[in-house]
Amino acid sequence: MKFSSVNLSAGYDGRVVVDCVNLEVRAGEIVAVLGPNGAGKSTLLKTLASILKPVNGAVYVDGRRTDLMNPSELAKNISVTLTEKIDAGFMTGFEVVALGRYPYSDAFGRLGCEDVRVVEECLELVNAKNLASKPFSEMSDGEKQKIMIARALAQKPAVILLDEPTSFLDAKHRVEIMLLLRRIAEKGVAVLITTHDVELALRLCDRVVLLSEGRVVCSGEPELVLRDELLREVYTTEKASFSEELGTFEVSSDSRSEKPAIHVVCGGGTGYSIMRFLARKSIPFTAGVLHSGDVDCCVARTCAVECIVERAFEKISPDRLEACKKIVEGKTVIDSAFPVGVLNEANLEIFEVADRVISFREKGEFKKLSCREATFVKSTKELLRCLEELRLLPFLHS
Amino acid sequence: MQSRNAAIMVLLIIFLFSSIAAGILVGSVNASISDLIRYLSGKNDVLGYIIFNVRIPRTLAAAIAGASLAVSGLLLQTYFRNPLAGPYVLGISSAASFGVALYVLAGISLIPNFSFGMMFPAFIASALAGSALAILLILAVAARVKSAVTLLIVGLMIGYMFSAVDQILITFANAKRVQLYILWSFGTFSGVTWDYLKVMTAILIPCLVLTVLLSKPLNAMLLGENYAKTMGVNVRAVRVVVISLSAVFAAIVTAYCGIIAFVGLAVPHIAKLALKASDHRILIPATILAGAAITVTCDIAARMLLSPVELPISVITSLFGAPVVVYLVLKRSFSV
Repeated sequence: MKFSSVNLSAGYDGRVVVDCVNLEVRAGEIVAVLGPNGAGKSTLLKTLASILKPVNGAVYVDGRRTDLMNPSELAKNISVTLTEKIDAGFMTGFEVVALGRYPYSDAFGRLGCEDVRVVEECLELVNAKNLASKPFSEMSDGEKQKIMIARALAQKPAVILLDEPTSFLDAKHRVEIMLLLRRIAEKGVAVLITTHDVELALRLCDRVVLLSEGRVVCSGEPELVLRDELLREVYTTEKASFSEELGTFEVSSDSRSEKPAIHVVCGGGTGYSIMRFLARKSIPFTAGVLHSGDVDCCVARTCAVECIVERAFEKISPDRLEACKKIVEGKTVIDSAFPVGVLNEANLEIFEVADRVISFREKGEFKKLSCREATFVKSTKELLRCLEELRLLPFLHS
Repeated sequence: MQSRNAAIMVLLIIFLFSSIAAGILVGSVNASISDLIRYLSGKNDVLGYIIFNVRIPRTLAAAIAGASLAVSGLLLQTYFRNPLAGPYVLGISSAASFGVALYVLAGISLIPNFSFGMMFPAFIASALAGSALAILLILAVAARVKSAVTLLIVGLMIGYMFSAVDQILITFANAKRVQLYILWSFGTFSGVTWDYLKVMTAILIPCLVLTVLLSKPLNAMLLGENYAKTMGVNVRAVRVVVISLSAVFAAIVTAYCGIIAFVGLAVPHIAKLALKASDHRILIPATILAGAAITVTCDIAARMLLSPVELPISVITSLFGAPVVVYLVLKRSFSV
């Protein structure tokens, strides 16, 4: 089974919103149409679903043009969930899902044994058996979304199109819906979603189509499409950049031009929360020496003004250390309480050249490692207070 | 749930039959079945004559009109997904009034030299012609616009335009004619004869049956036109049928009985709340029964409250309907 569009232009009343889209989704695949708000994702999805007439081009299911199918045939091939708010009155979860049997039921919409079985199966697949008798209007957004997906499944379609399936959902439901979409794809359904959620697309989808200003910027596997420069261009975010390794947006230090007065020494995952905290507070900082591939290094690369990096699993080389000492001179160093081993013990020397050291370690532990004086803090809150006393905060906080 | 719904349906049927019986027997002169039997068996009985030629057509007309208006309201509330929609939102009542106003106030008949005698007196022909004009207008718009909301607004605007013309005609008409016009617009079942009833029945009953056949697409329409379309509903066809049916309901009732307020707006909500259901397969029959029973009861009240003076039916339906709507709004159960 193959769902595809050929030279499809979508829009309203002959006005083109998205131009010349060629995409393809095969059974078992999840493809995401990604793009910022206003890129034309929903318009494209509605055109793919035959809710809107294509301005140009056509949509095919297994080589058959969808605009030549009758409504019932179309419903058996393609089903949709939209972002529209629904007021289903007194309808229960079961009744809403049962509406998905529309193209199969008789003239009065009576359900046969097979229909009831399919509805129950769909409710089970989305983990919503408990919602069968709950009134739709009393459900949470996440529950409603599950029911609407079950309804779409009840149409037994070859293709499911979902418009922003995870927006408005909390973290738990987002993950649940993500896993659910994977399960649906595994059942041999072609799944196409629109989303502005880059992180979701990266984790969930087999392929990504990146849309910007009404055209496809690029498409392919998410790892290839979701490159930092491209995303920065499409999403035009200056204050945040996308970390390819982590698959998330990181807030960049606001003023990269401003001279940082703080340096973070960290590693082994002890520093990322401190660095995110500093970036969030618009406090510029440098970081290093970090080992490439370390999670702290990934975060530092997007958040820090400057970052000294050593190759993975190598001892910190003298010239890296020197480079680092150079940028640290006269600055306040934050020690993240990183684990010290053969590969990174040279980092301890950085404390020596610092103007002052603020450490997250226990006092005793720090004394064993270094003979420097230090201020000890236990949380980012205490760190903030400490930086405030040292007048190291941008004027915003002082 | 099933048994609860069945019980409610049985109650509604009992309510309808008892209200019809009361409508026939209760009035400024009380009558009994024996009077009717005496008249029907060929004896010259005044009471029997009143029952057979006045009360029976009147009560049955009230039942059919009430059922039609209520179903019309339900259709439009579902189609427009708007709990405040009613049979008159498409401008039908204003258009019917416009037809009557042209005839009564300005002496212009929209259908010259047209008469089917007792079935279509000039009054009614004028109202029907006015309604037909509005139906054609709204269907022409419905075929072109995509969104239900646009259609709703166009319907309201058509209504305003017709009302504006009505008011111009009133401004220039003489007092006697204005009185005649106002009395028509109040709405009453008092003038209904067997001839009228035959026409109403012949048109409205098949339409009511047709509505029941729309249950399946109407249920799908609850999720909105876009979803309905992707579930296999021929949205354009359903739109034309829903608009045509609800317009015909409103047009016929208005032409023969005048403007009857609130039944179309309030009864569908009462049915929904009583059944706690949105499934049109039970909602439509329930709305028909409740609309008929409530309208017949209101008609009895209109006759009896200030007897022998008869109140316009809209006075009673509004007095009864407005508090219901307020109650529903306050209860926040005011959903489609």
